[in-house]
Amino acid sequence: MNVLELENVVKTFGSRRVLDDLTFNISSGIIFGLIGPNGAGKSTTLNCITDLLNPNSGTIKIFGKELREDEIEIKKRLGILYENTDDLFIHLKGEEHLQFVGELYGIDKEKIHKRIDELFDYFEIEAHRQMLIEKYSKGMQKKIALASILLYDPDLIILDEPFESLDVLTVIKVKKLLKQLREKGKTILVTSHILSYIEDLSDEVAIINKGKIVYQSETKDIRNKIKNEITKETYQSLEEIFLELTQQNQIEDKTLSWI
Amino acid sequence: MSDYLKAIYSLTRLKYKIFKNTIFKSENWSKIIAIILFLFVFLNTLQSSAFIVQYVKDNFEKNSELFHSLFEIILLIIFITNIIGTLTLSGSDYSRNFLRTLLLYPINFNRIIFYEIINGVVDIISLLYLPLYLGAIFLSGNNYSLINYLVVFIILLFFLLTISNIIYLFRNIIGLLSFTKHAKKITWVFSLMAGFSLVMVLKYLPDFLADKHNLILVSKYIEIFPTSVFATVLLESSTNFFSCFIIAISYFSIFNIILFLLNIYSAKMFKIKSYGKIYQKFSNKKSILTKLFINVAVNPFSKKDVAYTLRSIRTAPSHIMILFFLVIIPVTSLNDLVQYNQNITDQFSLSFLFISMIVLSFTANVFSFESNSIINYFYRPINYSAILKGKMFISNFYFLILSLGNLIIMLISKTKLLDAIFFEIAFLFSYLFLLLVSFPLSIFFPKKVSFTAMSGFLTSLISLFVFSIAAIIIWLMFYGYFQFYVVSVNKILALTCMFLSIIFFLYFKEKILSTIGKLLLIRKEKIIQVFK
Repeated sequence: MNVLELENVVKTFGSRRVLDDLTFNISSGIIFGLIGPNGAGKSTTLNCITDLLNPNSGTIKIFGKELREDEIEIKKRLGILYENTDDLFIHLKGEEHLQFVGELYGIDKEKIHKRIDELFDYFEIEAHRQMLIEKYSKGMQKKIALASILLYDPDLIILDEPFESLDVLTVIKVKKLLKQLREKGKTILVTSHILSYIEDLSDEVAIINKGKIVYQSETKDIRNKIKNEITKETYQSLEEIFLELTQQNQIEDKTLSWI
Repeated sequence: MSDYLKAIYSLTRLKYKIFKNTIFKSENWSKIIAIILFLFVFLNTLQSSAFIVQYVKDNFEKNSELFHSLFEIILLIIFITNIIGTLTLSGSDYSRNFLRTLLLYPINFNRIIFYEIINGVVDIISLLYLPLYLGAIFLSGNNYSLINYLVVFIILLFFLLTISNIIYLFRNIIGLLSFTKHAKKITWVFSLMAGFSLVMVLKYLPDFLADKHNLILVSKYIEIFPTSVFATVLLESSTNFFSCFIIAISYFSIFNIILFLLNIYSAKMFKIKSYGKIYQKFSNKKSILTKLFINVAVNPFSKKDVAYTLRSIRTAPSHIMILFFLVIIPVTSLNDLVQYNQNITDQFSLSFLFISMIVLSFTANVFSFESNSIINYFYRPINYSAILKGKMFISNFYFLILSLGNLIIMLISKTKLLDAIFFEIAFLFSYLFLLLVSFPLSIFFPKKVSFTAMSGFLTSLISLFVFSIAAIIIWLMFYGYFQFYVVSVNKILALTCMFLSIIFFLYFKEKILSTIGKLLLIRKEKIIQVFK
């Protein structure tokens, strides 16, 4: 069953066509990696899925329904981590923010308290519980944004650059956590500029360029190709596929005149 | 000096480009309203300056001993309102961010400050006050020669530079205060003092100035003020040209240099405070606010708004308004019980003024606090009418206090029961009407406001303008209906009509809110763009 379906989605900003008949599906219980160069349309795609932008045409179905059909219920099952942790109310304290999110998603008070305690402990930010979020470091803000999602246990989790600003130990922790969530049947859509993370985590990968999906494959296929290098079959790493399909392989030829 | 001129040239070009890009980014109809509003305010200022000139000319002989004193006092009042108007109507957020960005580039710090002050002279608000100062030239009624006009013009430029310097100094001091540990307490004390002084000034000043000896006394006290020096130049330069010019130039030069040095010092302090890391001891104890946040059972968005309101130093004046209600209303309404009908209208007018200000502060720009977190209103599982209901929380709370206060005062003043009911219903009707106006305003003219900025009005100028017109209409409606109510034989029938209008609001409340919610949905992308 597909948890997320995008069909011929078009989004324009003035005369600029940022999403150009974008079509892809994500099936249940997998980690799906979406990669693309800057300006390829990744953030616009995520913003259309999460209802921050209205697509000009096309359909987006989440859990088999269009968002407008059952807006509140679908949004309750959807968790999103924004790249710049934009969703944080920075003039609330860490605990207050989690309390706010818990109440929005209709979790009962006792459960909220218990989960908040566990989350502060898990992300090791207990000492900053009563601190205003604006005073948190970038990494701590990322942790509290991640905690806000985990608090209400959504079925579809969208993570835009989840590893940015996190220290190595937390990255390892989060990767392990994402794999655990997949085992529990959750579906995760993740974007990252660090291709090795995507290669390591994802079950399926798609490359977006100029508002279109230009490549989609199961990660194990890429891994098989790598293995087949020994048997002298064509070998392409995810990085090479990415460079080829996004036409960025001429990067090496360019230089700056004064350097 | 040429370096200073180069800095002024390049920074002016930069500001012009930013201004041009901002204007072209806004929608066409919003631009048209902005231009109309600007013309309206400009023409209005021209007209009022002409009115002042005419009024003084008609009522005071130029040769009378009071003329000079009165002239100085009028200029001082314009000067004070100019400074207050600029500080409260223009946001300090923009210039602060601009300054912060400039500091990252290799431009000499003093030159930036110099530019900012020069720029302040041509600031739009100062321009709006310019007709008033120009009006003063005509008021002086002198037959100037060309050289006289030139001198007056040079002194006027120096005078405007002084105003700009003072405004810049105030902004820096306010910015510095917002970094102090006791910023909130200082704001509360200052707002209380300012509000109290305003009440006292309004109450006693007209009587005080009615006495000509007092008028002369005041003018003596304000002799060292820049306005008085400017006034002297205007009135005496035709007879005492040389000494007037030398005194004024020396005075304004020294005064501006002192202000400029103070500005450099305060701006440097501001830079250190805004970039320096402040290490503070941190307690992990739950504050009273956190405990309230967790335990009170209201809409989470409302709770968040209450926490933000109490943490922000900007909203203190709005809270003060409600406190002053407790002082002003009893004083005015209990003053003279004989003039009963007039009393109740006065009482309504004052309550109406307060509630307008509260609605304007809390719902005419409901998203003013948000910045990037604006997206919470659109991707979280909450419908738009629930957001609007949550946003009414604080203003509802204030409305309840106001109407309860009114009721108590009416009981003290032995108002008839029917009249009291009429008054309360009229008040509720006005409040609901103002809410209806304010929500679309916040959807169509959202304005980002810095959380720490103490000055800067919460709403955009266009919102303020539209809201004021709506407020005048509803007040006139009430006044007309009140006259009808007073003369009507069947008061219960008149009361029922008013009551039915409330029922209409309450019956269609959900429909009205969902319609406004739909507007919010249509404007979603634009609103996000403003804040992100």
